[in-house]
Order: sequence, then structure tokens, then C-alpha cells
Amino acid sequence: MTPIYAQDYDFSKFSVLAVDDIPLNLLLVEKMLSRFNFRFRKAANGQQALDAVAEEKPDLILLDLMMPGIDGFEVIRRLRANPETQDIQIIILSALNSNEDVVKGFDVGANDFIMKPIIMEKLLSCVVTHLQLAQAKKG
Amino acid sequence: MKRFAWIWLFLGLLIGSLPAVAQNNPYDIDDECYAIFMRAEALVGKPGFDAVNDSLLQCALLKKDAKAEVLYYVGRLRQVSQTARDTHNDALVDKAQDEVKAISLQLGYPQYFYYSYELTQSYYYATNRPLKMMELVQEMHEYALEHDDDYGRWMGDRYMVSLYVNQSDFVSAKRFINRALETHATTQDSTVKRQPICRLYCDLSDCYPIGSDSARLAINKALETQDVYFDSLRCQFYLAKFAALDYDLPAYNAAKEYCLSSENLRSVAPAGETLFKIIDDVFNHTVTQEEIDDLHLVREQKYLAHILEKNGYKEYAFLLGKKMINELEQKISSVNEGHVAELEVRMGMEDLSADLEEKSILVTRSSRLLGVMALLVLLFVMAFMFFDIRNLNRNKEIDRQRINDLKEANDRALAAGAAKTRFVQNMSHEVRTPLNAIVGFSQLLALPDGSFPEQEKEEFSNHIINNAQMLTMLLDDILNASAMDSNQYKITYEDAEYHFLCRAAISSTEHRLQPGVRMIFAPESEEPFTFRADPRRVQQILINLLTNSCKHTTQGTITLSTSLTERPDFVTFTVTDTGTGVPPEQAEAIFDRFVKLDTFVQGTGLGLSICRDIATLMGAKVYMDTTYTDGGARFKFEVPVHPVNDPMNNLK
Repeated sequence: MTPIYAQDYDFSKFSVLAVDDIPLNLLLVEKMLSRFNFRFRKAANGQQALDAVAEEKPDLILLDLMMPGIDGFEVIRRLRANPETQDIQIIILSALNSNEDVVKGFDVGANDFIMKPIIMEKLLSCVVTHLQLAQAKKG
Repeated sequence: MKRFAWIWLFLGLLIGSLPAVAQNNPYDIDDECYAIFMRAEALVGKPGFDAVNDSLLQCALLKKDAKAEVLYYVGRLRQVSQTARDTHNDALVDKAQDEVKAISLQLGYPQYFYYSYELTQSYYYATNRPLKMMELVQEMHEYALEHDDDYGRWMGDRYMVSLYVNQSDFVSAKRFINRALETHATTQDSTVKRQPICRLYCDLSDCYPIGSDSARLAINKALETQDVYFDSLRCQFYLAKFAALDYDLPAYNAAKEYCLSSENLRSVAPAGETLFKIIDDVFNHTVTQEEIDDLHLVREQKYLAHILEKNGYKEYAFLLGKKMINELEQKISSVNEGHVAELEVRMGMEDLSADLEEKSILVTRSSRLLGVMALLVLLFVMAFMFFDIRNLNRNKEIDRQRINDLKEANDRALAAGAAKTRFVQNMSHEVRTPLNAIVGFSQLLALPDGSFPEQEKEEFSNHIINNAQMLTMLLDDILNASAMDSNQYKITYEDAEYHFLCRAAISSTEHRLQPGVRMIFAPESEEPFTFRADPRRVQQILINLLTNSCKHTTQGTITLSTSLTERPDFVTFTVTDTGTGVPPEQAEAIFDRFVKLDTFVQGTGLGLSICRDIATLMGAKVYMDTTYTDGGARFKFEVPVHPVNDPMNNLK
């Protein structure tokens, strides 16, 4: 069976936003996801992320937790509090790895949690699954 | 041998003063933490201890077990007070104690606050500094008075008793025994109430002439108050000595059997077994001079001298007496008595100030009654008192100063403790960030050919290499810090050329420059200059300073300049950047461990602290120049041209 991440998908109607304060991490995620044809945007901190969402609502957010200013947890809280944005799929990508952080991440409303260092296959299958879920929600 | 004996004495005191411990987890901490704690316990003084103890902290933080967290710091102090004995590294011990003091108070376990004094004192005892021990007792005493804490007062007096009994100053010992007994009798503090006082009566018995009625009365009192197991063992040991003195063989044998059957006799009486053996030999008339020479504790020698004399060994008794006097003289000469007396006076300060207040009230009253005549007398008295009061105020000032110092030390230790906790939590983040780039880009490179153009692949490789270097530096920092902690850091002096060091440092940091930033080398003179230094360490510090500048400078320049004239007999390196700068009030804080101005800039927060430690070892100085205010930051690093520790230097 072909692994989920190696199959061909048409995600051209989707938009993904990656948020991280370390530019290299954004570059890495971009390169890892480069085989998908969705619209890919980047934000360098919490505020930029919220601005980018306001400008154009993405289907999926890949979100770092530890960032200066508004951190990842707070970004999720604000997005979930707003009826407009509460249905966006959110995957946390974080180097914080304690059980507490994972539980807190889900508590505030994340849909998934991927630990850094990122394993590419894991990221790809996770992204595929959540985009399919987003599609199902759209109907 | 004598040192060894003292450790047992302290151990005895400790075990005797802790409440009876039994069960599986007497500390009442989380079971998992307790398992780690016991493993660490078995390793105290050995190299593997730190690692196990660190996992205790992790466990404690994970389980949110405050007491286990305190025990982690206590463990550190225990370890340091053991390992620092050979190197006499007081600073390490003091720092570890400050941490315990702060954390135990912060988390509400004051018993460890006082216990930290016990551990620190045992270190100063082992390194033969009784004065420092007395200062510690005083400091503890002051804290107890300040907080009106009977427990601290009681412990302070107990320590003084131990110190004086050990010095055979029985007059002073008696005074502190009485004070401790009084505190015990009058206190409302249930912890103090629960403390066994039997041992004090045993000590009191030693303060009276051997075999006297007072000594016997004290032992009877001890028998009445015996409480924990160690008490009865100690009482039996005294009973055995008394019976031997009276030649009451059945009583002596019974008490002796009781003592010898216990594994803990050594904790109660380090020389107990030897003493029994000699007494037996005296009774069997097989005693030899060598045996007697082997007995060292003055307390036991005193008894033995009496027993020898009573059993017809007058010559041996005389020789033993002489030996005792010699040993005592040695001890006394090792203690600066004047200083001890001064400390004592300061300990008695509170009594004095109360006296003085009474005096001034009396003086005022008499002045009203006697009018002008009395006023003259009063003036005279006042003049006299003026000197007295001025003295007293000065002393009070010193005391207040000390209390303030203590408070500041507490605050500092609190901050240090918090920083360390943050460090443990941050560490995994710090390691994972470069690791993420390494693992991530490696995976991209491993994809089938054609996935990415060659040029991009090269870029990925560079990211991997840079991040691997970053990770190496991170690990180096941690290893350096731990080497510094365990005193494994050695400075090796060689001939070093200062411009060569600069160029090497620049070439190994240039690639860290952010785009658009330039690094400039600006020596005061082009002439080469060779001096004695550890080139690797000097370079390490220069690299560290330059790397810091690279991290914090996004535009402009980073300048490394040198001077031989700025400070005579020193080579001065100056690193100036046009980066974000450091607020002047943070100029010293950034040299503390785990302090980072910006949490989101990569690094462990160890770099500058390591620089300072290394510089100190070399007799050099590294600091931030707060007089520089032209934007950005300026750091100075001054290295002595003739280092004091250089063996070559000493040859001259």
C-alpha cells in the first residue's frame, strides 16, 4: 500500500499558514511540504499569525508554541474564541515536549501535536489527515 | 583520624536530632522521587552523584514535589561540602548553602535552612577553620533572633556546645548547655519541644570533674530524659564508663555488652570500642603503652586516665595525662581565641542592649530629682555612655548590615534557583531547535534525486553543518560549566602572541555574522607581543564575546581592539558592537548563570558565566564597560602579562 504521504493529492483549493519565530524552521517546513500544491504562507510571531488569519482564513495552521509576544497557546485561544476562525485545523509543532505542554495544547484547542525534531513522514501524514478533515467539514 | 572522628560526631548529632525514622519513605516525598533520592544518597561524595541528583530535580519538578526539590538542593550542598574539602573551594560551598537557604525558606521547609548550616559547618570543620564555623553559628543565631525562632536558637546553642566540648572548654560549654536547656524548657515551638535533650545532659556530665556527684547527677538526668534509641545507647555508654571507674564489674559488663551489640556505637562514641578493649585489658592486667597511645578523643582519655590510676597503672595514667595536655594545647593554639571572644560578645549583643536601656532610664530619673548638680553628674555619665553607645550602635550597624547581606544573599539564591529551574525546562528546547534543523534538512537530502535542485541541496547541507556547530557549542558550554563545578578546569600557561589569538578568534566567528554586519580588527599597535597565558582559554573567551556580539548585532560593525597601555601589565582586549546593547543595570547580571536577556535568542545562558569563571582562574577580568554609551555594547577582557599562578613566574 502506498503510504498516505506518498500518494497524489489535489490540495490546490487549500491554504496553509506556518508560524515560527525561527526562520530556518519555517524554511524547513516549507521545503518538506513543497510537494503539495496548496497555498503556503508564513508568519514569524503570534501577532503576524493573527494578522495573516484576519487577512485570509487558512484551512490549516502549523503553529510553534514558544514565540516572543503572543505565544502559540494564546494564538489558539484567540482563534477558538472567534466564531469566524474557530474551525481552523491547528497542528502544534513544538520543541516543548513535556506532557503538561501537550495536554495544555489540546486543552486550548489544538487538533494535533508534533514534536520537534520533525520527522517528515509524520508531518506529511498529519497534514494530509487534517486537510481531509477540513474538507469534510467544508462539506 | 581526628577529622574522621569529628564527622562521626556530627553524624551522631544529626541522627540524634532527627525524629525517629522508619518506614519505607521517611521523608514523606513522592515515592518515585524517594527512590531516586536513595540512589543519590548512596553516591554522595562520588562522581556519579550529580547525574542522579539532577534526575531527582527533574522528578520533583514533574511531580511538583516541593520537598523533593528542596532535597535536591540539600543533596547538592552535601556533595559539594564533600568534594570541595580537598580543594578548599569555599565559594562553591557557600553558594550551594545559599541556594538551600533560599529554597528551603521559599518552599516552607525551614528545617533544611538550619540543616544547611550543619553541612556547611562540617565542611569548615573538615578544612580546619573553627572561626568560620563560629561565624556560621552566629549568622544562624542572628537569623533565629530576627525571626524569633526558638528552633534556630536551640540549634545554635547545640552547635556551640559541640564546638566547646570538642575544644574541651567545659566552662563555655556549660553556659551554652544551660541556655539550650532553658530554651527547651520555655519554648512554645513543638519542634524544639520534641528535640531530645538527653545528649545535652550527657555533655553536661563531661563538663564536671570525672566521678564527681555533679557528673553522676547529670547522667541520672540523662537517663530520665532518654527518648530516642541513640539516647539509651549513649546513656549506657556513660554508665559503662562510670561502672568501670567504680570497678563495678557486673554493671560494667552489662552496659558494655549493650553498647557493643549495637551497630551504632561508633556514631555515639567514635572511640567506644577501643576504650572498652583497653578497659578490659586494664582489668585483666594485660594493657600496653601502645594501646593507650592509640586513643585520641580527649573525653575518653580523661576517663581512661582515672581508671588507670585507680587500678595501679600510675605511670601510664601520668603519661596519658601529659599526652592529653599536649593535644589540648595544639587544639587551643589552632584557634584564635581573641576572635572567638569577639564573636561571643556579639552573640550576647541583645542582652547588652537591654542592660543599656535600663541604665539610661535610671540616669534620666536621677537627673529630675537632683537638678543642676545631678545634671553635671549626668553629663559625665552621658559622656561615658556616649562612647559605649557609639560602640554599640556601630556593632548594631554591623549586625544590621549582616542581616541585610543575608537577605540579599537569599534573594540572589532565589533568583539563581528560579534560573536553574528555567534552565532545566529550557534545555530540551535549546537542544531540540538545532536538532530540528539537522534532522529535518538531512531528511530532505535523503529524498530521491531530483526532489530539489543541487544548489538548494548545498544550502541544506550548510544549514546542517551550522546547526551541528551550534549544538556542539551548546554541549561545550554545559560540559565546561560542569567541569568548573567539579574543579576539573586546569589552566596551562604557555607563551602566547596576542594578535595571533585575535585573528584565530575572528576567523572562527566570522561566519556567524548576520548579513550586512562587518567584523573589524583594530589593534593599537601592529607590533607582535608575546606574554604568558593559556592561549586556548583566552581564545575561548574572545570567541565567546565575539559570538555574543554576532547574535545581538543585526547591522553595523563588531570591532575587536587590543591595547597594552590601557592598563599597565595587562593585555586589554575590547569587543565593541553596534547591536541591541545591554541596560547598565544588567551589566553584572548577565555574568550570572542561566541569565539570558532575550529568551528567544539561542543559547544556554552559560557562556558569559563560564568566561568569568575562566578569567578568574587566570587572574584576568572580563566585564561590560558601562561607560560606553554610543549604542551597542562594549566588553573588556584584561589578561595579566605576568600571571600569579604561572609556575614560570614563580621561578623568577
